[in-house]
Amino acid sequence: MTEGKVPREETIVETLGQEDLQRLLGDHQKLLILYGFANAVSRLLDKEKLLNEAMNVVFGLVKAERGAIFLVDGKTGKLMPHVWRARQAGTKGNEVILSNAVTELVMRERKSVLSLDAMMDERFKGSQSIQIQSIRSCMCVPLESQHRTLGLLYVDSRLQAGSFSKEELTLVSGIANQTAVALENIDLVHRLSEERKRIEGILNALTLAIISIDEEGAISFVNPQAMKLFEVTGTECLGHPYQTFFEGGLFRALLGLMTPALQEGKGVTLGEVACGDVEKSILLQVNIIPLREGLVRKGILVALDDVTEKRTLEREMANAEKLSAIGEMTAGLIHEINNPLNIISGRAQLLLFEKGEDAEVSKAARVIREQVDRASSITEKLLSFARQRPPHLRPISLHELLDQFLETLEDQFTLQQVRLEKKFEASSPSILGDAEQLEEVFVNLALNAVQAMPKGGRFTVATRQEKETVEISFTDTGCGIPPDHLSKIFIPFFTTKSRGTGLGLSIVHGIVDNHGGTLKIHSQVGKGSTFILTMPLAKGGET
Amino acid sequence: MIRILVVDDEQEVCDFLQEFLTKKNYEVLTATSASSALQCIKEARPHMVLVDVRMPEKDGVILLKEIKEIDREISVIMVTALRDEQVAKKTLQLGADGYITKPIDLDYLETNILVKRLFL
Repeated sequence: MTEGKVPREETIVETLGQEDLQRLLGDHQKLLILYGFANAVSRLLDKEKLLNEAMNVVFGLVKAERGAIFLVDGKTGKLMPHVWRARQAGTKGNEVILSNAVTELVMRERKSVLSLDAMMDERFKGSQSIQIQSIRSCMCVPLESQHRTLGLLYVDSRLQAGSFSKEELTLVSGIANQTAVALENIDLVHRLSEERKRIEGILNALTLAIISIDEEGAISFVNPQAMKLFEVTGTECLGHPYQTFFEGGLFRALLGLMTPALQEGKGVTLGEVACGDVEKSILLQVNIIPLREGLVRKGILVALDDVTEKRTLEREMANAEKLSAIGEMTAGLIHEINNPLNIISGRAQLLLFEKGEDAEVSKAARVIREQVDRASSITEKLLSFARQRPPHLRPISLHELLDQFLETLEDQFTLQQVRLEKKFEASSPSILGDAEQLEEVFVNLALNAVQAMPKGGRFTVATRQEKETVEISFTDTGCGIPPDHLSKIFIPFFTTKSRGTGLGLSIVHGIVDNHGGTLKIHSQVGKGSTFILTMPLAKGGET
Repeated sequence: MIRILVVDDEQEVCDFLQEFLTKKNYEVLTATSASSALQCIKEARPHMVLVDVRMPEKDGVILLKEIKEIDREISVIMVTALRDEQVAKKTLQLGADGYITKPIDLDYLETNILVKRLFL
């Protein structure tokens, strides 16, 4: 060929013989098959489909009578058949029995084996399987990955010796190599997806709300706790800018923390952040962790722990412990106080009886007695607080009980110019309770409400039935409770009234607690307070 | 004359009750312990006993039992500095005829005694 000149096609064809032409066309065909396979396997993520495809291609390339692909089992280390193929009808694929002599050689040497006549091959001398199956030609190629042998590809022919050429071995080796790479890829993808599932599993199992934000500020992951906390679904937030996520109501306080974290890669650990508004507020422990790959910033991870309930519980427990300790101490104390009070009062009464006609003595004795009675009434209240007996629970018609107690206070309401409003649930809920103790609760709450409205106002008693509980709310339009008093009002002796004992609400709290109920307060200074009592419904629910 | 025994571990209590009841024309005996009270009951057979619930050594509830064992006809009024429904119930079951709390309202005490007197 002259340099610089490209021969025309016809010239090449003319110079080739018919046989050469056939060979060239055959080679072209084989190249196409190889190309097609390479294309197909790069997209296959199914192991069995991949192996089938590989077997098809091999059968398209060489005149094999039988073929199989075996993979090393990850657990046992044994070769296991995955795909069988037989060209001739009547030969079942799964009858392909490998010759140990061939496979052992391939696995040991990690090299391909081509035998033009296996029965006569010196390497397999003494191999029974080859003799029994009368295997003539065979090819066995390892599926080699970078570090290990994944399995092997085997084809044979029992019909004639010399079925396979060295050239064909090279071709089949090429197929095997591609198959091995594809197998490794499938394995990697599988492992990655398993790993992803594992990590997601961990993140989902956490009680923390986890939100991951990428370097562009888009949300890339949220766990179920985060979705619950923010009241969104995954599709509503994934891929969206984090601002839309944190803008809404409760979480505005966090918004300011995100931007510096994202822009400067600064982590933030904050003890507890109060989020929310008047309607609803929560206490969040906030942790913002910058994510990096080497020196490159990869967004941030936001971990939020809603500790509202935990803190409330801790506070309630501390209160309960305090109450119980005070209770024990109180009983002893009352006994010690009442004895001298008894003597003082007795002497004062005696004085009244003997010298009652003397105005001065009479006045003094009266005052002494009154003051003793006052002190005694404090110990009386203290005692009912200290000696809270367990409630005798029985089903009670809630509305009947409320009506009864409201009736006894009617005069008081009128006198104080308090308008009573009843908003009862249409059904007639029955609760499990001790009528006497509950009445004490209601009276305490009602009298507190009346006292909070010295110039009159509106007192609303409402009930609302839930699935297993009923809510009883007492709302006044009085002076309200300052926020710093809210946490103290159940503490014994805490009072803002000039002549209060500071025990009323402690007693209420104890009774409600013993009933398995809860008591919540919403209050706004100048607008009024609402005490919400939640009590368990009696079985059957209605009376 | 109706004879009343006042039992309280505090002498001061015994004293003012004695003064008051004497003025109301009762014959009043006092005891500051359960054992001296029992002695007095055996010797003087009072019609009525006022018993403090909480006393050192032997408390009022046991004393009540022992008084009723000696003579069921003797009226016993329990006096306590610590109102306690359980104790009240128990003493009434054991045969106590009344249960009053300290500080004692002397008018109330007298009414109680008068009512009991009707049955003496």
